[in-house]
Amino acid sequence: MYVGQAGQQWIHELLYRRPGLAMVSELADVEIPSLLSRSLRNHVISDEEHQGILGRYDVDTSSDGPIGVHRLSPATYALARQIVLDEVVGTLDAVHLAGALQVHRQDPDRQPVTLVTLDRRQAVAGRRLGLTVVDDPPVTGADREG
Amino acid sequence: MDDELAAALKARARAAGVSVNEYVTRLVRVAVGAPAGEDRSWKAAGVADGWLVDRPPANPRTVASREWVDRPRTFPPGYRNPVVEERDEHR
Repeated sequence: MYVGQAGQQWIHELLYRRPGLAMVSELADVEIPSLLSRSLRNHVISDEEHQGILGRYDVDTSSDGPIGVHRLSPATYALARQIVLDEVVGTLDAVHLAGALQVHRQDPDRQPVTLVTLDRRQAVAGRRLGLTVVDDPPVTGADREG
Repeated sequence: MDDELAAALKARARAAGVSVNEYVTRLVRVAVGAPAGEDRSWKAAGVADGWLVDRPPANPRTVASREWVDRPRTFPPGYRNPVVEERDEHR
């Protein structure tokens, strides 16, 4: 979401204009810097942008930011283990799915979880596990102008 | 604070494995930190119960503005995006 994807405007709407709804796995604390470092190495973003986006992630996921960070626990890994046995997904995708499923199962009536992913296999697995999945965020005019 | 609320607070703190003082601190930190008009009650509950990470307000040296992050760039969707096509794991 920080380096540009189709449907980016839809995701930003979710984060900043309808706050209080978004959550990421604690895995993102490593994945986001990894992705940004790769973007920097590939000259997709500048060093200044790299630092700025890292800062933005830290602010967005802090206590006064719009994104909650789901804590990984032994129960998360146990669930992820079962998911890789039952579904065709990679290791990290399974950990993300396990976190989403944990939150969903806590109280599905009060806090139903919608998984947002651009990975087809993760989307299929998410649906099979009972999650609502958005795997094709609407592309807006602003996305196309970029 | 009425007795019923105090008892509920103690029960929630016990379930989260923290002291009542720590539990209240977690709730207040999220509630006070949220900008006016933004509903963070779910986040306060998650942090207090321990399933969301409790992270103090960040003050990094450089922060890209929301407007900058909003600025769209055109990439192919998903893992056809050149930035993310190189996965971190073997499948």
